[in-house]
Order: sequence, then structure tokens, then C-alpha cells
Amino acid sequence: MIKDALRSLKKDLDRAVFYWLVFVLSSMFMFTFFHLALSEAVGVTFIYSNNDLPTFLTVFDVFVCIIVIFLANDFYVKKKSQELAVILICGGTYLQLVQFLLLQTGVLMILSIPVGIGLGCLCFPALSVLLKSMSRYEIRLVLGTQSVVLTACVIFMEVFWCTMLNLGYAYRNSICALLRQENETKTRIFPVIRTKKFRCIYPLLYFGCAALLYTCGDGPERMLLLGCAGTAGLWGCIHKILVPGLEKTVSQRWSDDGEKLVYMGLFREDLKMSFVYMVLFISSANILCAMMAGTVGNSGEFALCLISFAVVIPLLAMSFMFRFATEASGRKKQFATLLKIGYGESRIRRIKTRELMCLYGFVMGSSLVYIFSIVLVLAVSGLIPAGVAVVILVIFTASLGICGMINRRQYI
Amino acid sequence: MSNPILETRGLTKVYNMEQENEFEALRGIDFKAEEGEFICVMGPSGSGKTTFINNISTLDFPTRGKVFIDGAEIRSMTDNEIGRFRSRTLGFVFQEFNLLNTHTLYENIAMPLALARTKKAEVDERVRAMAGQMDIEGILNKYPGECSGGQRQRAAICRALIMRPKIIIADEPTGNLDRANSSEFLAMIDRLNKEQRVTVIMVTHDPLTASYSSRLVYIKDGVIETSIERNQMSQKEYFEKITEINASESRGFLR
Repeated sequence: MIKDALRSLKKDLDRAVFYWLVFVLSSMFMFTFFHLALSEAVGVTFIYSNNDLPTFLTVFDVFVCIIVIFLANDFYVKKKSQELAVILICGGTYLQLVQFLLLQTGVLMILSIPVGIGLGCLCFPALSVLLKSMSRYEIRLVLGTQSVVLTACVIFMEVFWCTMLNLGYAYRNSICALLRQENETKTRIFPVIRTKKFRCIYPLLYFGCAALLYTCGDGPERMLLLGCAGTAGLWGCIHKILVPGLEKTVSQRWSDDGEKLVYMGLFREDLKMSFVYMVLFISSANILCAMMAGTVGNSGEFALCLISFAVVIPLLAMSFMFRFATEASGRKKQFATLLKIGYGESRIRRIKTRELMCLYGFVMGSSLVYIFSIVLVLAVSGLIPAGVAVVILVIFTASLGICGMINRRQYI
Repeated sequence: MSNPILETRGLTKVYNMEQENEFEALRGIDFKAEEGEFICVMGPSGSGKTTFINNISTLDFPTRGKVFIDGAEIRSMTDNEIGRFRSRTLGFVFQEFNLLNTHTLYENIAMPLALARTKKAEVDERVRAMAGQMDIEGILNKYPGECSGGQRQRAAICRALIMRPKIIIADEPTGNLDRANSSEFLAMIDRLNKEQRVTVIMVTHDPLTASYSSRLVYIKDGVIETSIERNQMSQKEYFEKITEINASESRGFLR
């Protein structure tokens, strides 16, 4: 089993490298975060803790890390379902499957944690300078064993539980997938809403709340409330207006354009899965910016919020990237079909590029409506320095942009 | 005799060329299909049926030899020309339907027309007419995942026929269908072949399916071993002849 696991790891080296990279970045971010949280400036103890904000931030960051590792794990394990099915058919037990997968993820995790911690240490001087230049607060970061232990524990627990969860899914579906492939009949996850009566509420809610941020969104509580209402508006815009609208228009409007017909159909499918990430982007930015606004005057907590933002947004962008990569990996057959019905290689490349541009453009645009408004309001009200506002926007756009480019490279 | 719509001369396909595991899947096949013929390709597993089909339908290219479709040699075409040619001359039907799960049946069927930049009104008219013929007009807005196997296969046939191709290439098209849907599919292909003179080349393992054809080509070890013309034979007589060929192949393995 050990040999098989290592062979399987070698066989999917490109996926393994991606997975390893997630571990490296997660451990680096967690390590930096814990270091800051445990530094003298913040002073979190995690025992009988009454530091409300840092404790809440820790839980929030760990939760985001869980999502990212789960999706990266899903991306890795999905490819293994056929191998798992073969092991099962050959008489393998559930325990052997656990060994098979845990060995692979374990090897990657062990190889990644020291690298992540090393990179985190290398970031300390640059981070101190950056924090000082942006917030004029000086924070001394000193290497401590407690944060190393905490990072390793969190990553280990997340990897273990995510692997077990995905294994459970793969176990139930692998043999079925091996025998029946795509023949099962699916039911529509998001039924088309036929009632048109209240549809206009959603864009009103989405854009209206964004506009209200400028007039009455300078308090953390109001900002959170408007963010939540805006997210509900976004949900309605996507599921009750955009997707049903595209279901109608793709066939009517673009039936004379072979490329548009395909990539808009693919984009429509991508939209259904991307909503949850837009919610995560907006709510994370909302929560963290609101917290940041409430920590003015406390250098440690302000830095912790900023670090959290710098940790959470790239991690969420990565989880979006993995989610799309998982989706894209299941589309090879579809593109082979397109080739068969007369779409050339160059056309298919163009279709993929445009689909990605539409998807990332939409996610970035609809999230930026809120993120931009929030940071602008905070900066104008003097709750965060202008430099920090720029950094927040750069972190968001750069994270999504880089992930989009990685997706493009892998997809095309 | 009229000009063949499809012809191969010395068609040879070698996999893993100049490697330790070099394998000759097709060995110098000469084959002709006239317009309006219904040809069935049979043979044991691994005999080269699918390789043959892929090579005569531009999905793969021969290592040696030439393939002419409607007078054009496919090797002389560019990638874009092949795509256009494939979309306008050939219609494909596969065992696994090969519909895009992310698109509705309407969009799947309209795809070849959209690729050829046909006007919207004409696309709509042709898609609905074709769907009406196949009895799937009422489910055009559904996704393939929401339809039954028979409905999916009908949609795949609509897509294959929407460009009014000269040749239909079908690889085990009834493999995923129950008996009722298979018979319906075969009757429809037969009708198309007879009424619209569409050339059909179909791979199958099933003698009953093969008995709908006008000619049987039996491939074994990469060469055409036998070819039977149905001519005046009844479907029953033809079916028995096909069964006999299959049985004689199996008899060779008896101890």
C-alpha cells in the first residue's frame, strides 16, 4: 500500500505540487498569524481567553483555512476515485483506502510545514517594516515555539479531517462512477424561478446597500448589516435573475455564434458554483474591514486584522481557483466532443480563455463593488490609513488575478 | 458505379511507432463507401473497428495510406479546414451520447449551426423541426443530466443530423439504450438512409443492429476479413448470415 500510495503521488505530480503549495501557504499564513496573535502587542493566551477580537479572528482564519484545505483536498482526491474503486474491487478494505490517501496527504503535509514555517520566518522583517510603514505601529516579531506547534496542530487536524471527509465521499461514489460513469440522471440544483414579481428587489438590494455604505456605513455594525443585505441581493441577482436569464438568452441571442454559445453556457454553469466564493470574499472583507475600523488605537489588533486580511483573501482566491480546477478537470470529455463536432483546437482555446475572463471578471467586479466601497468609506472617515486601503484593494485584485492566471495555464 | 463518398487506400495505423510496444492496429485497408450505403462494421474486441472509424472520420490520422471523403484527401487539409469539413460533412453518434452537460438540449443541437454562423431564425427553425422529428421538442430547455438515456441519444442524433451531413458515423450507438429505444433508433437511421440517402457507417457488436445495414464489413486483426452485401436477402436471412460469421469466429476458440 505504501508503494502504491507513493506511485500514485508521483503519477499525479502536477496536482500534488498544487496541493503541496496550498499546505505551504496555509502553514506560512497560519504561522505568521499565530506569531502576531501571540506577540506581546496582542497577547492572546488561548487559555481562559478574554481577548474577544483576536480569538474571533483566530476562529475565522482557521475556518477559512479549513475551506481552502478541503477544496484542495477535494481537487486532489477526486482524481483518485478511479484508483480507489480499483482498490475496492480488488478486495481492499476501507482502512487500506484510508492508508492510501493519508499516506499521500501526510507526505505532502510533512514536506510543506517546515517550508511554510521557514517562509513565514523570512517574512518577519519585511512584515514588521510593512506594518510600520502602513500603520505607523511598531510590532516586534520573535520566533516562538508555541506558534510552530499551533500551526502544525491546526494544519494536521484540518488535513486529517478533510481527507477523511473526501474519502467518505469518494468511497460512496467511486465504484458507482466506475461502473456507470455519467449515466445517472441529475436533478436541477437551482430551479429556474418563474415568478417575476419581486425580481427587481435583488439588484436594488445589492446596489442599494453598496450605495448606502457611502452615506451611513461608517460604523462597523452598520457596515456588517449592509454587507449582509447586499450579499442577499447578490444571491438573488445570480440565482433568480442572471442564471435564469442566461438560460433563456444563451440559446436565443448567441445561436449564431459558435464560440459565444459555448463559453456563455460554460460561464452560466460556473456562476452557480462561484456564488459562495463571492459571498465569502465580500463577507470576509466586510468582517475584517469592520474589525479593522474598530481597532484604531490598538496597534497589535490592527496589525492582526490586516494580517488576517492578507491571509484570508489569498486563501479564498486559492480555494476558488481549486474549485474551478476541479470543475475544469471534469470537462475534458466535453471539449473532446467539441473537437468531434468541428470546433478546432484554436477555437477551444479561445472559448476557455473567454470563459475564464467572464468568470474572474464577474467575481472580481461584483466583490469589488462592496470591497472598494467599504475601504473607501473607512479611508475617507479616517478609520484606516489611505495606504492600508490601497493595500487591501491590491491584495484582493492581485490574489484573484494570479489565481486566474494559474487557472488559465492549467485549463488551456 | 458512382464516385465513392468515402474511400481509403492502404489505410495503416501504427501505435507507439518505433517503440518496444509498437502495435499495428490497421494494416493496409482498402475500403469504399458509396453514397446512400448503410455499412455496418463488426469484429471482435481489439480488431481495430474504432481505430478504423476514427481514421475515416478525421478524428485520427493514418500512419500510412490515404483517406478521401467526398473527393477530398483529409491529410491535405489544415486544422481549421478539417473542423469545418467535419462539421458540414460528418455527423457523429456515440455510445455515451457525448452531449455537453453544461448546455441545454437546444444549445447542444444548435452548436454545429452556430459554428457555421447560421442565422438565428434559421437555427431556431431547424432545431425545432429536428427536435419535433425526434419527439424531444418539449424538453429542449432541459439539461442532458435531467433527461433519460433515450432522450439524450435522440438529442445526440439531432445534433449529428442538424447540418444535414452526407455521412453519419456511429460508434456503438445503441450500446447504452434499452431494446425499445434501440429499435426506435435503428428504424430512424434506416429511414434517414433510405429517404434522404444519407450514408451511414456504424460500428456494432450486435447482429440484430447489424441486420439493418446494406453491407457488413467484418474486421479482424486490422484487416477486412469478410464483407457481405445484403442485396435481396430478407432481414432475417441477413441476420442469420451475420450470426454465422460471428459464431464461426467464436468457434475457432472452442477446444
